[in-house]
Amino acid sequence: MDSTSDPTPRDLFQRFYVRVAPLLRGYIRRVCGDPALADDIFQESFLRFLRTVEWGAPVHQQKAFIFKIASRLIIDNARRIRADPLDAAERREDPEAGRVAGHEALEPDMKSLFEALKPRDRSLLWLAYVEGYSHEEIAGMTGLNARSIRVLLFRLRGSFAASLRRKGYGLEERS
Amino acid sequence: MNKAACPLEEKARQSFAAGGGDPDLVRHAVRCPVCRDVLAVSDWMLRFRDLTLEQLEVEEPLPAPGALWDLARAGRTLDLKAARKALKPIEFWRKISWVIAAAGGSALVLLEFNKIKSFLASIPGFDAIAEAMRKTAEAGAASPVQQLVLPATLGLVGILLLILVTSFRRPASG
Repeated sequence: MDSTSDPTPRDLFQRFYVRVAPLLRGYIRRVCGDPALADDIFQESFLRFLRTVEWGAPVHQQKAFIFKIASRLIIDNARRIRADPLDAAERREDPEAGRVAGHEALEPDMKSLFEALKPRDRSLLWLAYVEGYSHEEIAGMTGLNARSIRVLLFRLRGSFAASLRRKGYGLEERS
Repeated sequence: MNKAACPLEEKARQSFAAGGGDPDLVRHAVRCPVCRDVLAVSDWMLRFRDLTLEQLEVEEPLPAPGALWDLARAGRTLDLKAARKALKPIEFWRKISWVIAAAGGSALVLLEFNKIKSFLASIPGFDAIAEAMRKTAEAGAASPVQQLVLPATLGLVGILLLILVTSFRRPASG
């Protein structure tokens, strides 16, 4: 390491962003379901993150922190939309949202299978099986306790694996 | 046999999420029904994640990090909503002070009218102006509306001066 000056917080943020932003956006988009709302949550997550981040903390911790912010925002929005069905209906009928959904190149089966789950279950599956967070970390992100996360993931693993089998998604050869 | 839990489940899940490199765990997963489910879900989720990220990368570029950084900084230095909220009590008392000043000024003028009149009379040239106005009115050269124009203009100029003086702001410190 022969760099003469320490990176500025702006540089540190750019590095962090390049590394984490695509993953966070994928998570929010798939758990949230609504592209417009997902974009809002994505931006708000980074703004809140930047207000409170400690650049001296390890990157893993910073990543967990921004996933926690995003998870809380998704939960809050899910509650708000459920409490206001008119708003939810308007969002579904948003022509812009429909246009984006119409261009989905993802296997429709995969998308519908995942969207059939409740937002909380989608979030738990993603955090556990994609990001590989521990029960304790997921508990911190979602505001539930670790024991509940263990039980919820246990049930979710069983039911989702059964759904996958029914849909014909078997294990592929692993090299 | 319905095996409900496996001590390696958590380890297997985290290992698969990190890339699934541990061959021992994969071999174990083939034999263990719990870890087989974990592996199946993990495989599917990672494939779903990859497809999602590929699709988003092609269709919707990420916002520039610099824009988010600037937005966050602007939000930190100038929170308009918070500033408005903080200034609300000051704004209220400012309005009250204007009303009190106007009422007090009017009362003072009414109570000390004679003194003000004699003070004005002592100003050199004021008598001449007053005389000229009186003569103009007596000659019928001006209608009552026209007679009001001069005092109204003087009053307006006074108000404008007052606004100019009170709206003068000191340069921000720092």
